[in-house]
This record gives sequence, C-alpha cells and structure tokens, in this order.
Amino acid sequence: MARIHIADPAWKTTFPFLVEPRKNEWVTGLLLHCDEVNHWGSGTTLTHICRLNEKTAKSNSTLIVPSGLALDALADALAIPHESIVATTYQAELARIYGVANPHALLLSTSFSFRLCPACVAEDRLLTRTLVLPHITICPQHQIVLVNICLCGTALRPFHWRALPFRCFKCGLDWAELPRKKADQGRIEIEEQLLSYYQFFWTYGTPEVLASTLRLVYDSVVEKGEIRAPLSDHASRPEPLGRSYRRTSSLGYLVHLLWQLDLTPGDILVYADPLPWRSAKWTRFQCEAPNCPYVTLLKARRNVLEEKHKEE
Amino acid sequence: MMTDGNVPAPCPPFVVHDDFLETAFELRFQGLLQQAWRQRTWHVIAALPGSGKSLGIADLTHQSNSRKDTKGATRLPLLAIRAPKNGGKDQALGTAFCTIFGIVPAMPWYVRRAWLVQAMAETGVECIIIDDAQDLNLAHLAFLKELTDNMAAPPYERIVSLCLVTAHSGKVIPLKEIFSRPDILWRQFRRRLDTERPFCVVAGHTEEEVRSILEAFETLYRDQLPDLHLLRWTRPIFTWLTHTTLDPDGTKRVTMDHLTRLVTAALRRSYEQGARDVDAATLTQTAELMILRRDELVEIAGVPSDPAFPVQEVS
Repeated sequence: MARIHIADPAWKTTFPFLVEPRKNEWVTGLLLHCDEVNHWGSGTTLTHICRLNEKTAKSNSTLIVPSGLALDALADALAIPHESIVATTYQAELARIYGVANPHALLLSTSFSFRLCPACVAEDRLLTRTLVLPHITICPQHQIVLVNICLCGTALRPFHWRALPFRCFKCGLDWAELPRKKADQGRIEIEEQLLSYYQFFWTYGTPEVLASTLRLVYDSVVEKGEIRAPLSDHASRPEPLGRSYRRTSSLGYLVHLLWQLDLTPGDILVYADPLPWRSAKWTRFQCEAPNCPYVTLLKARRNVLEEKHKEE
Repeated sequence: MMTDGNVPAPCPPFVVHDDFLETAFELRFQGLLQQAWRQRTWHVIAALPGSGKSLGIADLTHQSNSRKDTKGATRLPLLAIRAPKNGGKDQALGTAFCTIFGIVPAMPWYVRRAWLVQAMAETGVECIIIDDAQDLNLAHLAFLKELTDNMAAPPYERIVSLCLVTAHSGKVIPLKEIFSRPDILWRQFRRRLDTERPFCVVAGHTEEEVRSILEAFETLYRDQLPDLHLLRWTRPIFTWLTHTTLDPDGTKRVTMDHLTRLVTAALRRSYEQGARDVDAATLTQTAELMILRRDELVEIAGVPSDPAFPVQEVS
C-alpha cells in the first residue's frame, strides 16, 4: 500500500482520496469507485480525465479500450503505475492479439450494453472486466445473471451526472439491491467454455495465433458443413449493413465461432504451426501405430497449453 | 586553492542554507498553534512581518502526520492555507481549502461547498490555520463560520480549532476591530474565540535568543567559513537590527528575516573574498546597507563580465 505524505509533491497532484484497481477490475468500476470514495457524483472522475484530453469522446467503447482516454493522467491522479490502469482495460491484450498500437473497441465487439453483477457490487463495489466480453451474461464468480435494467425499468448507465456512483440515475436504487437471478446450469457451462477461449487469447494471443484460428475456423466450416445453434444473446443478432466486416474480425465473433464449431484452444495450437497438409481433421487425428510421428507432433503442440497451466 | 598551472581554481558559489531553525519565536508560535489544536480553541495570532510565521506553519504541517494511502484513507488533521489575495467571495476561500486536498475536479460551487464539509470531516480535520489572515474579507469570515458550524453539527459533530495568523504593525491587531462590531455574525464569531487568549501577539527575538540563532548559523556555515565565530558579534547585530529603521514600532526584538538577511549577506561577501571568518567591517557594511542605504537606488548599466548562464552559439 503506497502512502503519500503531505510534504510529497504528489500530494497536490493526486485526488483527495485514492483508490487502486482490484483484481480484474474494469476501468469503469475504478472510475465509479474513485467517485464514491471522494464523495463525488457519478462520472466526475471520468469528466475530469476527459477534460485533460479534448479529443476524447465519452462513450462506452472508450472504456473498453480507452485509446482516447488520458490514462496517464488517471494513473498520476491516483498515484499508481500506468500499467495498473491499463490492466483495467483490454487495451494491452487486444494490442498484442491484433498487432496494433492503439486497438479499437470494435476489435472486441461491435456492440455493447452495460450490465453488472449485483453481488459483486454489494460485496466490493466491483465491476469486473469480464462484463465487457461479448456473449458473457453470467457472473463467473457468483453464477448469477448479469443485470442491465433497473427495477424501475430504466436501462442501467455506468455514468450519469444526476446520479450517485453505483446507483440508478432514474430511481436512485443502489445497484447492489438489484435482483440476483441464479443462472441456468447449461448456460453456465457454455460461458465457462467461452471464458476459456477468451483466457486463451489473453494469454497466448498474437497476430499469428489469430491467423491460425481464422484458418482453423474456415477449414472447419468447409469440412464439417454444420455449426451449433447460435448463442441467444444480443451480440448474436444480425448487424446492420456495412458492419459485417468489423463483426467478423472481432474477437467476440471469433470466440462465438469457436464455440459453435466445438473447437478448443488446443485445436488452435495444433493449427498454429505447419501441418503435413491443411485440414481441420488434424484436430481429431488419432493413430494406433506406436510412435506415430504425427501423434507425437500434435501432442507436443497441445502440451504447450498444459505446461503453461501447470506453471500458473 | 591553486592548480598545477598556478591558475586559481574557481571558488564554488556560496550556498545559502534554508533549513528550518527551531528558534525561540518558532517555539512560542508553534507552541500556541499546538495548544489551540489540542484544545480546539479559536485565536487571532499576530506577529511582525518576516518573523517566520509561514515557515512555522509549513513545519507544523509537515509534522502533522497528514497522509493519503491508496486504500482510500486520507488523514489531514491540520489544514493550513494562505488567505486568498485580491478579496473575492466565499468561493475564493473555498477553492483555497479544496486545493489543499489535491486535485478536486470542477463542480458547481453549491456542490463543492457541501463536499468540502464532508471531506474535512472524513479526513479528520482538527485544526484550521489561515496564514495572512489580514487579507480575509467579510465574505470569507462568514464562510469560515458556516464551514466550522457545519462541521460541528450532526452528522459530523466535529469541533475544530481555528487560528487566524496575521501580520501586524504597531499596536493594531487585524480583525480585532471587525470582531468587535455589534452585528450578530461578528458577535457569534467573537463568542467562539478563546476566553483567555483570543488575540495573541508573538514577539520576535531578544538578544539572548539572537545569540542562540547565531550559534546555529555558525554550525550551518562552518563548512564554507571554517573559522566562523559569529557569537562575538551578537551585541552589535542585535543593536543594528533593533534600529528604528528595521524596528519602527520600537519592540526591541529582532525578526528572523532581518537576522538571516544580515548574516547570509555578510557571510557571502566574506566567502567571496576568500576569508575564513566574517569580520567587523563586512558586518558593518552589510548592516549599513540594510539600515542607512536600504532605499538607495542602484544603477545597473553595462554588460556583465562573466555571465552566470552558459551561452551557446547557433548556426
């Protein structure tokens, strides 16, 4: 825990009350947490940070990958390292996966609706980064359905000048008081699988891995000729004309496809390096011959994932 | 010091030490502030300009264990500000208070007003010190009363000490006349002042106190003037610095500003002349500059022979 004494010049350049990001906290939650401990209205910290960067438009996409947000200013005002603030977004991960310096939020998803876990808010005033992942509708920790509408019927908004932090701007209800609906077991299993894809890309994602994933998806579609039923959440709805290209290149869409095609992160690793010939069938290749060089090759590639898990 | 080529090595520039010295004045002044802080009393505290009030407040602030930690806990038991200049409304004083907390985003004044009370209560403010309080106007004083009253009321119920530190001259104590007015506000303000010592004047240094400060100066500057022996000049220094030019009120006390100026100027001269101690002539010349020739105009003409800053040619 860092401590600033009044004689330290940082005293004058930091907010009156400091907060530091919790594990897996989303920058939106951090900003609201900062508003709350400082007794400010919802969005005061965000507005202050945006004022420091005139080009910034306050939109939800800014908070997923805050390319226009003055993260340095926020880090300075909270007296924490810049990296800690970046870790409250998916900026670093998307930059690595797509090989770009300033990734756009569209690389994760083309649409976003704000939702939250009332239990996380009640326990820690916490909004996790997981909330922004496409197709994730359940809190992985509490296994309750994420909420996007208040009891008064108003769609939840992360910031509103008339509201207090973590409260509905219309009726003032604390988000911690929102209903907690237990998630369906089948859906929990699906989302665990989806989260494992995301986790794979956050850990191993590079432009090469992304390219091999796209090759694998393409070959699987061609060879299988069928996919699972689409996921029933907003992100699976048809997009307006002209957005299809952005949609097909987003990570959320790719993860959706991997689930539909029943492919695993191990399959992606099998496809990541050259194969004797290109076919999705290598992901299910088996051979009874002892010391089959192909089995050894595929096993070695899958082992990378297992070894990494063991290390962690 | 000579080099191999018999060229005198350039003397490093004289270093003025600006360490905080716990002088007799500071002991008296800080003692008063600390007592007010402990007992949560209100005072108007006056001292001559140049006594060391601001340094004393800054030192006390540094000792106050004010801190921010990254878990959201901030402690600010001693809140010291300088009164806003050029008048202004209550908002100017409110802004001065907010600035002490660090970065406070822009917000409407009515919101900031309420926020300030909440922030002061949560950070555990126990004592408010306002330096240069002679610059406060009626709107500022009314706001101060409102602020402290709100702190004292539920839900905070915090009684804070208030020290209005002013510079004075002669027998006139700033704010005394305002608090004597019959208006309800000023009567309420006056009622909150300490019963025993509502208005205090902290005196400067006696000859004996000057002696102990000179002793401290000897220690500070001995690395630059190895044979420095200032104590023997205590009497003449005290006499010079209580001359009517520097002590127009006839207090027969010496301010820290005058003493520091005289000593450091004389020591610098001696050092630049290559001396190991300061002599009577140098001290006398410096004292004359301060007393007899203090309003003398100095004409600056020509070009300095040795520019102190590096000059680089550009193509």
